[in-house]
Amino acid sequence: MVGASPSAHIIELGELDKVPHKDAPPLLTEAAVNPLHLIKAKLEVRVGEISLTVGELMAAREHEVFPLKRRIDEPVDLLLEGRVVARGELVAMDDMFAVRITELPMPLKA
Amino acid sequence: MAESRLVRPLRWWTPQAMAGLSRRLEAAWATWCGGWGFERRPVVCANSSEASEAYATVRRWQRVGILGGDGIWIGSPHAEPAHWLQQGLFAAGPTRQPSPVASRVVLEAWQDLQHEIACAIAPETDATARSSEPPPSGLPAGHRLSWSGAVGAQLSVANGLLGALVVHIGPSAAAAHCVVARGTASATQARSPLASVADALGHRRVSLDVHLGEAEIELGMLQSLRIGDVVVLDHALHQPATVQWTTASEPGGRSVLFEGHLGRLGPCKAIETAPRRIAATLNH
Repeated sequence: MVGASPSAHIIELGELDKVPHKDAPPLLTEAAVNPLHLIKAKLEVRVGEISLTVGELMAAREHEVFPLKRRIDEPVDLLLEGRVVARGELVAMDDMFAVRITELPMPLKA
Repeated sequence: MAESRLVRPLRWWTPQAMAGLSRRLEAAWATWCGGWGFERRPVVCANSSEASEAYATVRRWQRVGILGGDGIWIGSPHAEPAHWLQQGLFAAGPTRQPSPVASRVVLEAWQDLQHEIACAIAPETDATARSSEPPPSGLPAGHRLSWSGAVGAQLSVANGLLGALVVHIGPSAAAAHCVVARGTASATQARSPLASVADALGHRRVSLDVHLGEAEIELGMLQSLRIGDVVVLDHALHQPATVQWTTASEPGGRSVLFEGHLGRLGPCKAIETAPRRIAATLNH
Protein backbone atom coordinates (compact mmCIF):
# COMPACT_ATOMS: atom_id res chain seq x y z
CA MET A 1 0.00 0.00 0.00
CA VAL A 2 1.31 3.42 -0.87
CA GLY A 3 0.28 6.66 0.79
CA ALA A 4 0.32 8.51 4.08
CA SER A 5 -1.04 6.81 7.16
CA PRO A 6 -1.96 8.56 10.38
CA SER A 7 -0.34 5.72 12.48
CA ALA A 8 3.14 5.87 10.86
CA HIS A 9 5.94 7.44 12.87
CA ILE A 10 9.71 7.72 12.81
CA ILE A 11 11.73 5.06 14.75
CA GLU A 12 14.38 6.34 17.08
CA LEU A 13 17.33 3.79 17.11
CA GLY A 14 18.95 3.43 20.54
CA GLU A 15 22.68 3.59 21.20
CA LEU A 16 24.39 0.10 21.47
CA ASP A 17 27.32 -0.89 23.70
CA LYS A 18 30.11 -2.29 21.49
CA VAL A 19 31.79 -4.28 24.31
CA PRO A 20 30.07 -7.69 25.03
CA HIS A 21 29.42 -8.97 28.52
CA LYS A 22 32.31 -11.10 29.78
CA ASP A 23 30.14 -13.86 31.32
CA ALA A 24 27.77 -14.26 28.40
CA PRO A 25 27.64 -17.87 26.97
CA PRO A 26 28.87 -18.54 23.43
CA LEU A 27 26.17 -17.85 20.91
CA LEU A 28 26.72 -20.92 18.69
CA THR A 29 27.34 -24.49 19.79
CA GLU A 30 29.72 -26.72 17.86
CA ALA A 31 26.73 -28.51 16.38
CA ALA A 32 25.32 -25.28 15.10
CA VAL A 33 28.63 -24.40 13.49
CA ASN A 34 28.79 -27.79 11.80
CA PRO A 35 25.29 -29.21 11.37
CA LEU A 36 26.79 -32.42 9.98
CA HIS A 37 27.59 -33.32 13.57
CA LEU A 38 23.88 -33.72 14.22
CA ILE A 39 23.54 -36.52 11.68
CA LYS A 40 22.65 -39.72 13.43
CA ALA A 41 24.61 -42.84 12.58
CA LYS A 42 23.97 -46.41 13.60
CA LEU A 43 26.86 -48.43 14.86
CA GLU A 44 26.36 -52.16 14.56
CA VAL A 45 28.20 -54.69 16.64
CA ARG A 46 29.47 -57.90 15.11
CA VAL A 47 30.52 -60.41 17.72
CA GLY A 48 31.98 -62.84 15.21
CA GLU A 49 31.30 -65.16 12.32
CA ILE A 50 30.11 -68.73 12.03
CA SER A 51 31.35 -70.86 9.17
CA LEU A 52 29.24 -73.90 8.38
CA THR A 53 27.81 -75.81 5.45
CA VAL A 54 24.29 -75.46 4.12
CA GLY A 55 23.69 -79.03 5.23
CA GLU A 56 24.72 -78.23 8.79
CA LEU A 57 22.57 -75.11 8.74
CA MET A 58 19.49 -76.99 7.52
CA ALA A 59 20.03 -79.71 10.10
CA ALA A 60 20.50 -77.27 12.98
CA ARG A 61 18.34 -77.80 16.05
CA GLU A 62 17.44 -75.78 19.11
CA HIS A 63 20.15 -75.47 21.77
CA GLU A 64 22.81 -76.47 19.29
CA VAL A 65 26.14 -74.76 19.90
CA PHE A 66 28.18 -73.27 17.05
CA PRO A 67 31.69 -71.96 17.69
CA LEU A 68 32.51 -68.54 16.29
CA LYS A 69 35.67 -67.91 14.32
CA ARG A 70 36.85 -65.61 17.07
CA ARG A 71 38.67 -66.28 20.29
CA ILE A 72 37.29 -65.21 23.62
CA ASP A 73 39.90 -62.50 24.05
CA GLU A 74 39.42 -61.05 20.59
CA PRO A 75 37.49 -57.77 20.32
CA VAL A 76 34.13 -57.29 18.64
CA ASP A 77 33.70 -55.13 15.55
CA LEU A 78 31.85 -51.85 15.39
CA LEU A 79 30.50 -51.36 11.91
CA LEU A 80 29.31 -48.19 10.24
CA GLU A 81 27.51 -48.79 6.95
CA GLY A 82 28.98 -52.27 6.81
CA ARG A 83 32.59 -51.17 7.41
CA VAL A 84 34.56 -51.78 10.56
CA VAL A 85 35.39 -48.36 12.04
CA ALA A 86 36.41 -49.50 15.50
CA ARG A 87 36.89 -52.54 17.72
CA GLY A 88 36.28 -53.04 21.36
CA GLU A 89 35.74 -55.27 24.32
CA LEU A 90 32.24 -56.54 24.96
CA VAL A 91 31.16 -55.35 28.42
CA ALA A 92 27.96 -54.78 30.36
CA MET A 93 26.62 -51.46 31.53
CA ASP A 94 23.71 -51.91 33.90
CA ASP A 95 21.62 -54.53 32.14
CA MET A 96 22.70 -53.62 28.63
CA PHE A 97 25.48 -54.80 26.39
CA ALA A 98 28.16 -52.19 25.74
CA VAL A 99 31.49 -51.95 23.96
CA ARG A 100 34.61 -50.39 25.45
CA ILE A 101 36.65 -49.04 22.54
CA THR A 102 40.09 -50.62 22.24
CA GLU A 103 41.00 -49.94 18.63
CA LEU A 104 40.33 -47.10 16.30
CA PRO A 105 41.93 -48.45 13.13
CA MET A 106 40.65 -45.59 10.98
CA PRO A 107 40.79 -41.97 12.01
CA LEU A 108 37.15 -41.20 12.71
CA LYS A 109 37.74 -37.50 12.44
CA ALA A 110 38.97 -36.59 8.98
CA MET B 1 10.46 -65.73 -12.92
CA ALA B 2 8.38 -64.89 -16.00
CA GLU B 3 4.94 -65.42 -14.47
CA SER B 4 2.96 -62.75 -16.26
CA ARG B 5 4.33 -63.41 -19.72
CA LEU B 6 2.97 -65.93 -22.14
CA VAL B 7 5.01 -69.10 -21.93
CA ARG B 8 5.19 -71.09 -25.13
CA PRO B 9 6.88 -74.37 -25.87
CA LEU B 10 10.00 -74.35 -28.01
CA ARG B 11 9.24 -76.04 -31.29
CA TRP B 12 11.48 -76.41 -34.26
CA TRP B 13 11.27 -79.13 -36.86
CA THR B 14 14.02 -80.94 -38.71
CA PRO B 15 13.43 -81.87 -42.37
CA GLN B 16 12.94 -85.44 -41.20
CA ALA B 17 10.29 -84.37 -38.71
CA MET B 18 8.49 -82.38 -41.42
CA ALA B 19 8.64 -85.23 -43.94
CA GLY B 20 5.13 -86.48 -43.18
CA LEU B 21 3.64 -83.01 -43.43
CA SER B 22 5.56 -82.39 -46.62
CA ARG B 23 4.25 -85.63 -48.16
CA ARG B 24 0.66 -84.68 -47.39
CA LEU B 25 1.06 -81.27 -48.96
CA GLU B 26 2.89 -82.76 -51.91
CA ALA B 27 0.03 -85.16 -52.54
CA ALA B 28 -2.60 -82.43 -52.23
CA TRP B 29 -0.63 -80.12 -54.50
CA ALA B 30 -0.15 -82.87 -57.07
CA THR B 31 -3.86 -83.67 -57.07
CA TRP B 32 -4.86 -80.08 -57.49
CA CYS B 33 -2.24 -79.24 -60.13
CA GLY B 34 -3.18 -82.39 -62.07
CA GLY B 35 -6.85 -81.51 -61.93
CA TRP B 36 -6.40 -77.94 -63.10
CA GLY B 37 -3.64 -78.42 -65.64
CA PHE B 38 -0.68 -76.91 -63.80
CA GLU B 39 2.84 -78.30 -63.98
CA ARG B 40 3.87 -78.41 -60.35
CA ARG B 41 7.17 -78.00 -58.64
CA PRO B 42 8.13 -79.86 -55.45
CA VAL B 43 6.69 -78.48 -52.24
CA VAL B 44 9.29 -76.84 -50.00
CA CYS B 45 8.57 -76.96 -46.27
CA ALA B 46 10.48 -74.95 -43.69
CA ASN B 47 10.11 -73.61 -40.19
CA SER B 48 8.22 -70.35 -40.59
CA SER B 49 10.99 -68.24 -39.11
CA GLU B 50 13.37 -69.59 -41.75
CA ALA B 51 11.12 -68.85 -44.73
CA SER B 52 11.16 -65.07 -44.58
CA GLU B 53 11.59 -64.63 -48.33
CA ALA B 54 8.53 -66.71 -49.13
CA TYR B 55 6.42 -64.95 -46.50
CA ALA B 56 7.53 -61.56 -47.78
CA THR B 57 5.81 -62.22 -51.13
CA VAL B 58 2.41 -62.81 -49.52
CA ARG B 59 -0.04 -59.96 -49.79
CA ARG B 60 -3.07 -61.69 -48.37
CA TRP B 61 -3.72 -64.64 -46.10
CA GLN B 62 -6.86 -66.75 -46.10
CA ARG B 63 -7.56 -69.37 -43.46
CA VAL B 64 -8.64 -72.69 -44.88
CA GLY B 65 -8.71 -75.01 -41.88
CA ILE B 66 -8.28 -75.52 -38.15
CA LEU B 67 -6.40 -78.28 -36.41
CA GLY B 68 -5.47 -78.52 -32.74
CA GLY B 69 -6.79 -75.01 -32.17
CA ASP B 70 -4.43 -73.60 -34.76
CA GLY B 71 -5.23 -72.50 -38.27
CA ILE B 72 -3.95 -73.33 -41.72
CA TRP B 73 -3.67 -70.40 -44.10
CA ILE B 74 -2.99 -69.95 -47.79
CA GLY B 75 -1.06 -66.85 -48.69
CA SER B 76 -1.22 -65.35 -52.14
CA PRO B 77 1.10 -62.84 -53.80
CA HIS B 78 -2.01 -60.96 -54.92
CA ALA B 79 -4.26 -58.74 -52.87
CA GLU B 80 -7.11 -60.82 -54.23
CA PRO B 81 -6.10 -64.53 -54.10
CA ALA B 82 -8.20 -65.46 -57.12
CA HIS B 83 -6.05 -63.24 -59.30
CA TRP B 84 -3.25 -65.74 -58.97
CA LEU B 85 -5.49 -68.33 -60.61
CA GLN B 86 -6.87 -65.88 -63.09
CA GLN B 87 -3.37 -65.28 -64.29
CA GLY B 88 -2.45 -68.96 -64.26
CA LEU B 89 -5.56 -70.32 -65.91
CA PHE B 90 -6.32 -67.60 -68.40
CA ALA B 91 -3.06 -65.66 -68.58
CA ALA B 92 -5.08 -62.63 -67.58
CA GLY B 93 -3.62 -59.97 -65.36
CA PRO B 94 -5.37 -58.64 -62.29
CA THR B 95 -6.44 -55.49 -64.10
CA ARG B 96 -8.37 -57.35 -66.77
CA GLN B 97 -11.97 -58.05 -65.93
CA PRO B 98 -12.62 -61.79 -66.50
CA SER B 99 -15.75 -63.10 -68.13
CA PRO B 100 -18.43 -64.48 -65.82
CA VAL B 101 -17.52 -68.02 -66.87
CA ALA B 102 -13.83 -67.42 -66.21
CA SER B 103 -14.66 -65.93 -62.82
CA ARG B 104 -16.68 -69.00 -61.97
CA VAL B 105 -13.85 -71.31 -63.01
CA VAL B 106 -11.32 -69.31 -61.02
CA LEU B 107 -13.51 -69.39 -57.94
CA GLU B 108 -14.02 -73.15 -58.21
CA ALA B 109 -10.33 -73.77 -58.68
CA TRP B 110 -9.51 -71.62 -55.67
CA GLN B 111 -12.10 -73.37 -53.51
CA ASP B 112 -10.80 -76.72 -54.70
CA LEU B 113 -7.28 -75.76 -53.66
CA GLN B 114 -8.49 -74.75 -50.22
CA HIS B 115 -10.36 -78.02 -49.95
CA GLU B 116 -7.32 -80.08 -50.95
CA ILE B 117 -5.06 -78.31 -48.47
CA ALA B 118 -7.62 -78.55 -45.67
CA CYS B 119 -8.23 -82.25 -46.35
CA ALA B 120 -4.51 -82.97 -46.44
CA ILE B 121 -3.68 -81.29 -43.14
CA ALA B 122 -6.92 -80.81 -41.21
CA PRO B 123 -9.40 -83.33 -42.61
CA GLU B 124 -11.60 -83.05 -39.55
CA THR B 125 -11.93 -79.29 -39.66
CA ASP B 126 -15.29 -78.47 -38.24
CA ALA B 127 -17.20 -76.57 -40.90
CA THR B 128 -19.49 -74.98 -38.34
CA ALA B 129 -16.55 -73.82 -36.28
CA ARG B 130 -15.07 -72.29 -39.37
CA SER B 131 -18.23 -70.48 -40.26
CA SER B 132 -19.17 -69.39 -36.74
CA GLU B 133 -16.71 -66.57 -36.82
CA PRO B 134 -15.03 -64.72 -39.64
CA PRO B 135 -11.67 -66.36 -40.31
CA PRO B 136 -8.79 -64.04 -39.48
CA SER B 137 -7.11 -62.57 -42.51
CA GLY B 138 -3.69 -62.27 -40.91
CA LEU B 139 -1.38 -64.67 -39.16
CA PRO B 140 -1.53 -64.75 -35.34
CA ALA B 141 1.19 -62.88 -33.50
CA GLY B 142 4.09 -65.09 -32.61
CA HIS B 143 3.74 -67.57 -35.45
CA ARG B 144 6.74 -66.10 -37.22
CA LEU B 145 8.99 -66.11 -34.18
CA SER B 146 11.93 -68.46 -33.93
CA TRP B 147 11.04 -71.77 -32.36
CA SER B 148 7.31 -71.07 -32.81
CA GLY B 149 6.78 -74.48 -34.42
CA ALA B 150 4.77 -73.01 -37.30
CA VAL B 151 5.62 -74.31 -40.76
CA GLY B 152 5.56 -72.52 -44.07
CA ALA B 153 5.31 -74.44 -47.34
CA GLN B 154 5.93 -73.00 -50.75
CA LEU B 155 3.62 -74.23 -53.52
CA SER B 156 4.86 -73.24 -56.94
CA VAL B 157 4.27 -74.17 -60.53
CA ALA B 158 6.58 -74.38 -63.52
CA ASN B 159 5.21 -71.14 -64.94
CA GLY B 160 7.83 -68.80 -63.57
CA LEU B 161 5.60 -65.78 -64.07
CA LEU B 162 3.35 -66.97 -61.27
CA GLY B 163 4.63 -66.34 -57.82
CA ALA B 164 4.48 -69.13 -55.30
CA LEU B 165 1.61 -69.66 -52.94
CA VAL B 166 2.53 -70.11 -49.29
CA VAL B 167 0.73 -72.46 -46.97
CA HIS B 168 1.18 -71.51 -43.33
CA ILE B 169 0.49 -74.21 -40.78
CA GLY B 170 0.16 -73.03 -37.16
CA PRO B 171 2.30 -74.60 -34.42
CA SER B 172 -0.28 -77.00 -33.03
CA ALA B 173 -1.47 -78.01 -36.46
CA ALA B 174 2.11 -78.64 -37.56
CA ALA B 175 2.83 -80.60 -34.40
CA ALA B 176 0.04 -83.00 -35.31
CA HIS B 177 1.97 -84.02 -38.42
CA CYS B 178 5.60 -83.54 -37.47
CA VAL B 179 7.13 -86.56 -35.81
CA VAL B 180 10.01 -86.02 -33.43
CA ALA B 181 12.29 -88.97 -32.75
CA ARG B 182 12.19 -89.68 -29.03
CA GLY B 183 15.18 -90.81 -27.02
CA THR B 184 15.59 -94.51 -26.55
CA ALA B 185 14.92 -96.22 -23.25
CA SER B 186 18.63 -96.68 -22.67
CA ALA B 187 19.18 -92.96 -23.13
CA THR B 188 16.53 -92.27 -20.51
CA GLN B 189 18.16 -94.69 -18.12
CA ALA B 190 21.53 -93.01 -18.66
CA ARG B 191 20.24 -89.75 -17.20
CA SER B 192 21.59 -88.72 -13.85
CA PRO B 193 19.19 -89.30 -10.98
CA LEU B 194 17.57 -86.17 -9.60
CA ALA B 195 19.11 -84.76 -6.45
CA SER B 196 17.31 -82.77 -3.79
CA VAL B 197 18.25 -79.13 -3.32
CA ALA B 198 19.57 -80.02 0.14
CA ASP B 199 21.87 -82.65 -1.35
CA ALA B 200 23.01 -80.34 -4.12
CA LEU B 201 23.79 -77.42 -1.84
CA GLY B 202 24.52 -79.34 1.33
CA HIS B 203 28.28 -79.07 1.03
CA ARG B 204 28.41 -75.40 0.18
CA ARG B 205 30.06 -73.47 2.97
CA VAL B 206 28.43 -70.25 4.13
CA SER B 207 29.51 -67.58 6.54
CA LEU B 208 27.03 -66.07 8.98
CA ASP B 209 27.51 -63.04 11.18
CA VAL B 210 26.57 -62.90 14.84
CA HIS B 211 25.23 -59.46 15.70
CA LEU B 212 24.15 -57.63 18.80
CA GLY B 213 21.94 -54.58 18.72
CA GLU B 214 22.88 -51.15 17.54
CA ALA B 215 23.94 -47.89 19.04
CA GLU B 216 22.58 -44.71 17.52
CA ILE B 217 25.11 -41.97 17.83
CA GLU B 218 25.55 -38.50 16.40
CA LEU B 219 28.29 -38.03 13.88
CA GLY B 220 30.00 -35.42 15.99
CA MET B 221 30.10 -37.76 18.96
CA LEU B 222 31.27 -40.62 16.76
CA GLN B 223 34.16 -38.56 15.48
CA SER B 224 35.24 -37.72 18.99
CA LEU B 225 35.36 -41.35 20.16
CA ARG B 226 38.53 -42.21 22.05
CA ILE B 227 40.01 -45.49 23.18
CA GLY B 228 38.45 -46.40 26.49
CA ASP B 229 35.10 -44.80 25.71
CA VAL B 230 32.10 -47.03 26.28
CA VAL B 231 29.31 -47.24 23.73
CA VAL B 232 26.08 -48.62 25.16
CA LEU B 233 23.98 -50.76 22.82
CA ASP B 234 20.21 -50.97 22.64
CA HIS B 235 20.51 -54.66 23.47
CA ALA B 236 19.65 -56.00 26.91
CA LEU B 237 21.88 -58.68 28.39
CA HIS B 238 19.06 -61.22 28.50
CA GLN B 239 18.20 -60.78 24.82
CA PRO B 240 19.66 -63.26 22.37
CA ALA B 241 22.05 -62.24 19.62
CA THR B 242 20.97 -62.63 16.01
CA VAL B 243 22.69 -64.79 13.42
CA GLN B 244 22.37 -63.09 10.08
CA TRP B 245 22.92 -63.85 6.49
CA THR B 246 23.97 -60.92 4.33
CA THR B 247 22.07 -60.92 1.06
CA ALA B 248 24.17 -59.78 -1.85
CA SER B 249 21.18 -58.82 -3.98
CA GLU B 250 20.17 -55.95 -1.76
CA PRO B 251 22.74 -53.59 -0.25
CA GLY B 252 22.33 -53.60 3.47
CA GLY B 253 19.71 -56.30 3.27
CA ARG B 254 20.07 -59.01 5.89
CA SER B 255 18.11 -62.07 6.80
CA VAL B 256 17.97 -63.12 10.40
CA LEU B 257 18.22 -66.89 10.32
CA PHE B 258 18.00 -67.61 14.00
CA GLU B 259 18.78 -66.24 17.44
CA GLY B 260 21.11 -67.51 20.09
CA HIS B 261 22.78 -66.78 23.39
CA LEU B 262 26.47 -65.96 23.53
CA GLY B 263 28.83 -68.21 25.41
CA ARG B 264 32.19 -69.87 25.00
CA LEU B 265 33.30 -73.18 23.60
CA GLY B 266 36.91 -73.92 24.47
CA PRO B 267 39.03 -70.92 23.52
CA CYS B 268 36.39 -69.50 21.21
CA LYS B 269 33.25 -67.49 21.52
CA ALA B 270 30.19 -69.53 20.68
CA ILE B 271 26.45 -69.22 20.28
CA GLU B 272 23.74 -71.58 21.44
CA THR B 273 20.66 -71.51 19.24
CA ALA B 274 17.55 -70.21 20.96
CA PRO B 275 14.23 -72.03 20.68
CA ARG B 276 12.45 -69.26 18.84
CA ARG B 277 13.50 -69.06 15.24
CA ILE B 278 13.17 -65.92 13.16
CA ALA B 279 12.94 -65.98 9.40
CA ALA B 280 12.31 -62.33 8.70
CA THR B 281 14.29 -60.12 6.40
CA LEU B 282 15.70 -56.94 7.83
CA ASN B 283 16.24 -54.06 5.51
CA HIS B 284 18.03 -51.32 7.27
